[in-house]
Amino acid sequence: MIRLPKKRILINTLAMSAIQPSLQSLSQQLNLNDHDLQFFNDWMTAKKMSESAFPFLKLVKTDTDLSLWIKGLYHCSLLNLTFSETLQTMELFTDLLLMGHNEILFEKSQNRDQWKNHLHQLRYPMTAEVDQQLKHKLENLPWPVGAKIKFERRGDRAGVEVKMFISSSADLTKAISSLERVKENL
Amino acid sequence: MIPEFDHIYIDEKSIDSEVALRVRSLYPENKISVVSEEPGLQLKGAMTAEEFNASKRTLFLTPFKGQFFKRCPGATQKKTLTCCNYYVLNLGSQCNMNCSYCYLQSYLNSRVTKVFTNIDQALNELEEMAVENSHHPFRVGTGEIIDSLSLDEVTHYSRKLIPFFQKYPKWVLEFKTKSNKVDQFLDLPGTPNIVVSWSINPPNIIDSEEHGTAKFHERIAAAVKCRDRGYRVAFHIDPMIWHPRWQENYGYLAEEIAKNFSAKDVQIISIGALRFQPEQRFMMKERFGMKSLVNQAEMFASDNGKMRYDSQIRAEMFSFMNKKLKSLNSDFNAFICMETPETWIKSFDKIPMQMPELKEFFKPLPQVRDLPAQDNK
Repeated sequence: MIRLPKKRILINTLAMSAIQPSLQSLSQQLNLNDHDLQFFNDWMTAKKMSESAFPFLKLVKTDTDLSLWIKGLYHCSLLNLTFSETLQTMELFTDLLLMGHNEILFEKSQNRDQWKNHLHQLRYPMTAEVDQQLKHKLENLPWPVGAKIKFERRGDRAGVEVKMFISSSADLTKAISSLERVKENL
Repeated sequence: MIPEFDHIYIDEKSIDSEVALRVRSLYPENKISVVSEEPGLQLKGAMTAEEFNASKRTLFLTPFKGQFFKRCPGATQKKTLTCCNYYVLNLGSQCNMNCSYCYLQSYLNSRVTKVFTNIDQALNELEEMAVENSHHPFRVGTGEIIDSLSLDEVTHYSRKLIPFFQKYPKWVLEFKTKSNKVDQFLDLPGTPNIVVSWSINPPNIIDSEEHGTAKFHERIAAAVKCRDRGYRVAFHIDPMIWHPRWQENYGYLAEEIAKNFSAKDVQIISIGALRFQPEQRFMMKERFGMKSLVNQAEMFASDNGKMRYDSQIRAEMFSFMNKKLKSLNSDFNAFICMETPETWIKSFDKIPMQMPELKEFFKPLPQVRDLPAQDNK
């Protein structure tokens, strides 16, 4: 295990003084070497991460939770999430941490979309289940031939975005007739 | 028992006000200071959780500078919300109770609980308005940014407002509360245009989310007392909070209302679902933790920016509550508050203007001068 020079730990994480002590334990826990830590620091610098960007960090009170929190942030760096993706992901992560989740938070963390989806499902289990059922139902409705159907959650509403190409009044008549069938099946 | 405060400040401009004299008679001298300006006024920006907690324990008596009488915040969002023409009369700000979902957590920036001492000016404003508008059915509430009655034992403002509104029988005055403080005005006989209303939730939600408020049966008992003295009552089942046994618990709430009150007793039952401004979520979590059902809730940004439950869940909750109430007493007037026309249709199959029993509440009223809307919800 590499013992990290104190100077290195301070690089660019000065703005996140709350995480300093835990960073040391994280580097030991994850067996990070100098190069890994430098990468983490560089990523934080590049993304302009600072403590003030994470107003929810003050909710993390215990050393154990703080260690897990930094581990979560480290995973964001490994996945090279953008600044706003990192904020969204870490807010979800913080909620889940405070709800008592721990190692389950790192399942599927090797892949950006899978991890974000995993955290979303943990935080919004009821909505995730309902959305899955709704997606299945909506995608299997008799939409017009050739229509592109995409299930989406937009804030407090879930539904489908429907894209169609119409080139004649006959196309339009067919599409309307299909949409009528969709309405009957809703 | 009178409400407790760590300290009470009296603005030197309010020193001879009736409410200041009353406060001096109720609280020990060592808890009271006379000041020339609002304590904490120099502190800028949003409050921390600790400052917010402290503001609930510090009372400041001061005159209100500005217009007392305003339109309900729903009026500012006519494009997205269906609003019921409600007016608000602010007689103070902050609340000595402590609900996890309270919107004041993102609204207030004052480090004190204010009680405005110049209520006579508020009554003068209303008197002027009455010259041209006494025949219009204005609904006026005092419980928008302060509970209408939780400090009323201290202010006795109800005792001024009730006789005033009794002069204008077309106008309706509503005291909206989560307390059971009604004894201080019950010697005054009620009239149908004075409504005492309770924001109410099932007992389990009151216990977990509405700290320092009156218990469920205390609120019902206070409502019974008011009804028995000739006051009309109203209930705001708002915010409904989703939890695994919500149907059973909200069903019980509806049954208790129906068991104790006839439709004639109850002016209105409004229904709303949990909603809050996104910026208050961190303070809510810091102050109440993740055991709170409000903080655990699955909330999403809605069109007007507030966090809300999924629209289908809301429609399901509203529809359940409406059907339950109607099944217990088909004459109950129930409506949903601060919601979109789409949610109205999903929940009630129609918008309020299509419902004869609600049309009166939602019918546009004439403009009263240039009344600003309270911009908080």
